[in-house]
Order: sequence, then structure tokens, then C-alpha cells
Amino acid sequence: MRKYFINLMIMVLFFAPAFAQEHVYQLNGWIRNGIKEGTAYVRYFYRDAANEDHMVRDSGTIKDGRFYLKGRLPGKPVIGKISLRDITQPEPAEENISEVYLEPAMIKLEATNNLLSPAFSGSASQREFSQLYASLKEVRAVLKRIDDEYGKAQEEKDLKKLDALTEELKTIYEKRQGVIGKFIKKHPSSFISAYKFGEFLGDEEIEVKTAQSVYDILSPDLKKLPVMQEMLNRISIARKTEPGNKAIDFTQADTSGNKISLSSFRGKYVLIDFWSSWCVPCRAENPALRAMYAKYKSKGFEIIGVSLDGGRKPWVRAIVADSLPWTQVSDLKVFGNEVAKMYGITAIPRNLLIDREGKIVSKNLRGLALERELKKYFKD
Amino acid sequence: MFGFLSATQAQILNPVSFNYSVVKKGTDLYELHIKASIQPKWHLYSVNNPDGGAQPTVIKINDGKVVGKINEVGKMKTVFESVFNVNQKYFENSVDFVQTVKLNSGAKKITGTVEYMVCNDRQCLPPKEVEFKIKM
Repeated sequence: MRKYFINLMIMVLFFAPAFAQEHVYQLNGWIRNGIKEGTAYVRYFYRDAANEDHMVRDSGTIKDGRFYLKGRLPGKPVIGKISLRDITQPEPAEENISEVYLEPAMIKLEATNNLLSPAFSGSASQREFSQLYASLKEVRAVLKRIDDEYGKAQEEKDLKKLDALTEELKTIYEKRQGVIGKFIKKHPSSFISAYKFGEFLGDEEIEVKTAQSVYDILSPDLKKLPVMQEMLNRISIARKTEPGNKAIDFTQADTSGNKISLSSFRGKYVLIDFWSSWCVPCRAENPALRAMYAKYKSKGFEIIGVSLDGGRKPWVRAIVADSLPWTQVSDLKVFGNEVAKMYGITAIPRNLLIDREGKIVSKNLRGLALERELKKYFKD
Repeated sequence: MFGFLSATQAQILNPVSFNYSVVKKGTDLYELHIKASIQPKWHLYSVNNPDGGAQPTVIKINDGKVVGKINEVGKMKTVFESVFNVNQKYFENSVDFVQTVKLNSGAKKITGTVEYMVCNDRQCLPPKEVEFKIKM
């Protein structure tokens, strides 16, 4: 027994360095007709066993368009970003930033002109990642264009354009979900599938049935990853707040300290609006909310503003400045707001429309979409 | 076993990453660089963003004494937000927060926190606090 134990010790000692070596990635890159001289960076995040987030950055010199990077990985493959900075520029240009799948392998990266369409090889998973990344190219381009146009439309207060962009965004999210979903179905035990699951869910609305069905496909090992637990939580919160469900009742204080309950609005259509005084995009929605409130209040439409403010003063100041006549509640805990937590709110503005029986009918109605929805329930 | 934060999630919910470094300026005197990389279209607010607007970035140093004010190296945008009636000050793409720190004699590390929030044109994310620890 003792001998066996010693053997085991020797084996452990012997294999320890080899094991460490397994968690090193190497990357050989070549960019044609692009940056000749400069620096290549690899950057990724990971969360350690103590739940602390770390950022790691490795770099290497670009010479004649060729570069080499090497770095230790935190025990598992990760998806990071690779960026190439021209020697004459202070920062890498946007088109010279790409995702990269870092694993213990000799990764080969080839690109032409920039990193918009990189080709990765060197292992089966590199080729898989490369294909997935390529099939999301159009999605990335459209998202970037929507981003650009959205800011401009908001500045110009072009409601029609904002509405069109929001609809387009939904379509492109669906497309992204389709592409990633297909990949996950084909590669249910690949780390890439686990890493891409967050992007698959997206950061706005989660369609629970689709999300759960794709989650179910993932291998048991991947499901054990801490990040998947987070994803599962997001799905379960989305399930609770999905249209068709009864809205979870809550009670919170208004600006004068009176306790207000959602259930006290039963019999009316209620929009629960998550916002904050410091959130410009939220404040930008207020004129539309005001118009809808004026138009439909007498027909049985109410709004409850749930503010994620941290202080009473800015909260009240914003209500006055934007002339918001509807009920406002908050516990002044910012994103720790109990109602926001209950409804899984991770960004604002967000809203939910509740019908007369207290059932959720739709979510995240912005600008003209709110009017379209209300028209269904209230005849003019 | 290491857990990990998915990069995709980082991409979706974590548009800012920080890189820390120090430059020795004298006996126990260091220049601390907190360099933020910001994903396209997101706004990271200046430490001097005025009251009434978005929450300014706050950098706290636990060890030693700060010398002078934070210098923000980057292209600051000042935009009048009519909804706040204030001039918001923020950075896009990147900014380097530079703070000179006088450490206790012989100290070998600087620790502290960065508290920040970000918005883009469509939404705002919760304020976040990250800790840092830099060994000399």
C-alpha cells in the first residue's frame, strides 16, 4: 500500500509539469495585406474558484504581418479576443479585433487585410470555431450597423427609425440564435457550445422553450460548469416572467413612503417600467410613456415606474423634470432593487405589460411598439 | 478546478475590461495606470462626471496615499444631455486612469477598487465594482 502510495506520489510529481504544459496555448498568426508591424494582443476573462474575475492579457510583436503568442490558460479552454495594433496607432482598429478560441494547442490564424474574416486551424475545435465565427459574420456586421444607426436615430428623435431598428434587432437576434443553436446541436460536448450559450440566450428576451431545449442538449460535463448554472438561472427567471404567466406580486414604497402593491392595480392594464434617473436611454422613453398614459389612462391603463435609483433626491428630481404623473416606487438599492431581482432585470430600460387579470402579456415595448400593443387592447 | 466567466457573457454583460500597471517615480512613489478597454458604443463615465448624470467612475486606493488628482488619458467626450440638463463626460474605446500613489516605506503592493457603470444608446448596465491588486 505504502509502495503504491509512493509510486503515486512520484507519478504526480512526474506528471505535474507535463500537466501544466497542457494548459498552454500557442498561436501562430499571419495577416496578408494588413498590418505589417505592430503588436498582437490576446485578452480573456476567467472566474477563479474563489469567484473572483480576472483578466489576462498576452502580447507578441507583429513583424512582416506575422506574430506569435503564447500563454497559460486557467485550466480550461476559453474564448477571448485577439486584436492587432498597427505600430503607428495607439489602439487596435475595430476591424482588427476578433474572437479567438484558446486551448492547449498550436493555433494557426490566417487572415487577409484585417480580422473581419479570420481562419483558425490547428485542431478540430479550431476549425469548428472558425466555421461558427464565419457563419456569424453577417450578424456581427448588422449588429454594428444597428448600433451606429440607433444612436443617430435617438439623437434625431426619429421614432419610426428607432422602431424599425428595434424590429430589425429582434430578427437578427433570432438569426444569431439559429446559427448558434445549430452549432450546439452538432457539438453538444464542445466547450465552444458552452461559451456560446450566453450569446445564444442574448441579453434581452429569452424564449424559454428554445433556450431550454438547447440547454438540454449540452453534455452533463458542460452543465456542471459554473457559468452554465448562471445560464440556467437566467432561463428559470425568464420562465417566471414569460408572457402568459401571472405577474409576480410585489410591494414597494412610493416617493412619499406609501406601500404600493402591484395587485392593487388589478382590473387595469399595467406597464411595469424599470428605469432610473441616471439612465439616458430610459429617460428617452419617457415622452412616449407620457403620451400613452395621457391617451389611455381613462380607458384603464396604468404605469408603475420601478426606479433603480440609489438616492431619493435624483429620483424625485427626475420624476419632476420629466413630468411623470404615474405611480413611482423604489427601494433605492440600484440593481439590488428587490422587484428588479424578482423579475431578473439585468439592464434598463425594461418593461412588462400586465393585463386586467394580472397576467403578463408582453415585454420590453419601446417607443412605437408600446402604442401598437396598447391599440390591441383599447379601441380608440 | 477553475471556474470561468464565459467570454461571450463577458461580451454581453461586461463591456469594459481593465488592465493595471505601475511605473516607479521615486522612493515609494508610483504612478498607477488603470487602463480601461471599452467595447464599441459603450460609454464609461469620467471620474468627474457631474452630479445629476450617470454615476462617475470611482477609483479607491487602499494602500498608501494618493498624490494629486486622477489624470484621465484618453479622448473625453462632453455631451450635453438635455434629459439631465448636465454635460455628461465619458470615454469611448479606451481611457487610462493615472493616479500617483505614495506608498508606505517598503510596501510591495497597491490594492484598491474601481467602481463604474456603463451605458450605450439602448441600455444601461448595473454599476460594478472590481478589485485590483498590483505587486511591485
